[in-house]
Amino acid sequence: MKREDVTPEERELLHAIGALAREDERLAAPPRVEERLMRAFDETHASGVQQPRWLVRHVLKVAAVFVLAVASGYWWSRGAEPPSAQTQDQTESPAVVASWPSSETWAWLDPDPESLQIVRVRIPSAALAAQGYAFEDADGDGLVELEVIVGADGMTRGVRLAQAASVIY
Amino acid sequence: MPVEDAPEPSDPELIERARGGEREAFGFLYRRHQAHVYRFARAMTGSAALAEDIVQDAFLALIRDLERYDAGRAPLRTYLFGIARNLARYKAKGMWRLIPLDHAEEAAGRDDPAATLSSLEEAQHLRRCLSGLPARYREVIILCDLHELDYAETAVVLKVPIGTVRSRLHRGRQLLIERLRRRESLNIVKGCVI
Repeated sequence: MKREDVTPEERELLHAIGALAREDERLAAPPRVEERLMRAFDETHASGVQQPRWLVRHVLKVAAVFVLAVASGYWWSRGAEPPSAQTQDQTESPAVVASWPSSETWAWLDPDPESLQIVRVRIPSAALAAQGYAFEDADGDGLVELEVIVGADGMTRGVRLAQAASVIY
Repeated sequence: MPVEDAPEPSDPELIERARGGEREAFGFLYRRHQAHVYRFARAMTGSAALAEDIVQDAFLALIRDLERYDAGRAPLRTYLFGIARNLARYKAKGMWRLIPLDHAEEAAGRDDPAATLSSLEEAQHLRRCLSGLPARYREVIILCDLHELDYAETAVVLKVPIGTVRSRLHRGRQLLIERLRRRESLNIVKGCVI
């Protein structure tokens, strides 16, 4: 069908191409290609294509257990209360928290940690001294600069000396 | 007493067994089709090294896509030719960038040991002229005339309508004849000068 209506020149060309095809018949890819491919086939079928579903399920289960264990261990080691208990205690919490909280525990300080603000205030060192907090007035202006964490409800969550970034009690 | 040979398993049967991880089935498929893919790639690129790469990449693609291959859409050889054709065009792009066009035909001939060793000078000329054709004509001549695929199979490999295969084949043959004529005239002129 495809060789219908060919001109004599085309027929000659097709004859020549046929000779090329016969000449090429002995050609083949070298044996090393087959070796590489068989290795690739073995690797593909040994490493996942055949057992992906159950393997993935097991890996996910182990990962979930691992994450839960690490999270529980973390809370346990911090000796902290669950967030709901912390929220409940907020109304009774003192104005000055015992320490400047670490970034990890900020989430526990407020139901909406994004609303927490750090406010810098300057307090007369004499007033602090009267409350039992003695600070050295480095610049001699009679004021001490403090950083205060304030929640959306206006309650203080933490306090520290701004200059030295040290924890105060 | 002669032992009757069992009929060779079909491609779909071997594909199914290879999907199940049977390496012999894949090996059988490879040995059945690799030479065709290699010859096609070699004719397309004019390079034994590139043809070897193309065969490897085409069968690696088959290993990856064993699950997705649908024998109902195309026979395996046609499917492999399709991959090899894309790879050949992709790899040839890089190659032609590095070879000045004036020497492209000559370079293709030199890189092809089969052409170099051929006792027929006409065959060498034909091979060089074929290598110098634009890819869209070269591939259709290689598939239809060298590998004797029919129009429908060629259309599947090239992802074009059958009418396009016909027109490209006609135009490609004309171009090839013109180039062969030009070369013959050149040889005659060269002979007179010498």
